[in-house]
Amino acid sequence: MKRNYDLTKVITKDHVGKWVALSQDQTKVLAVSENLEELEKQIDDDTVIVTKVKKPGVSYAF
Amino acid sequence: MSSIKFPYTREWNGNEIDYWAKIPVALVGNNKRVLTVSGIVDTGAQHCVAKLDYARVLGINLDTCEPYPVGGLGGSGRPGYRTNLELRIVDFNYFAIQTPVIFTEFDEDILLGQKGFFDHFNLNLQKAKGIFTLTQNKLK
Repeated sequence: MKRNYDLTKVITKDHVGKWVALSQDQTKVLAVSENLEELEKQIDDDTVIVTKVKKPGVSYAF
Repeated sequence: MSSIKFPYTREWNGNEIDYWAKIPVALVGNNKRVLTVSGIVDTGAQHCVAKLDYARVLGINLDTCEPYPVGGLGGSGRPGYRTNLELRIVDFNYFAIQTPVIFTEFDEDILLGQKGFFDHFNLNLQKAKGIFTLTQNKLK
């Protein structure tokens, strides 16, 4: 399966701080929620990629 | 030996584009729930470290986990909870790794660290080409 690795157009400023579910190929956002519990209710596919969109303007190092 | 080239994941950080060596990883919970997240291949992490929110979804009782403080740029001593978990590396035919994972409050989904992940994979970063390569280590 071909996967999109350029998320600059998929995840936008509207998603900041929210939980999102990305399609397996990462081409689109399937669901958005303020909390993980609600997002879980919206998805029933184990291959969906879940993430919480980080705050902008921060340089992250882990 | 199985080897895959991955493009760096590009994300807008509000000021500029960030580049991450990320791969999808499926976390298998005690409740058999499978949650797929995007894992950072992180040579600087000793353990695999996951966002605390995922522990609840995966049916992990933090009271049964080993307290294991974590440190990093945010300082040391942040509460962490270590337990054994199954990780499945999606693009390697869901290759399953049984490994300790530390759950803690932090901003990323999961870091794939030296213990567990790098026991099974070799990494070649080629940032200038926008790719990195993971090679499955057949020695383990």
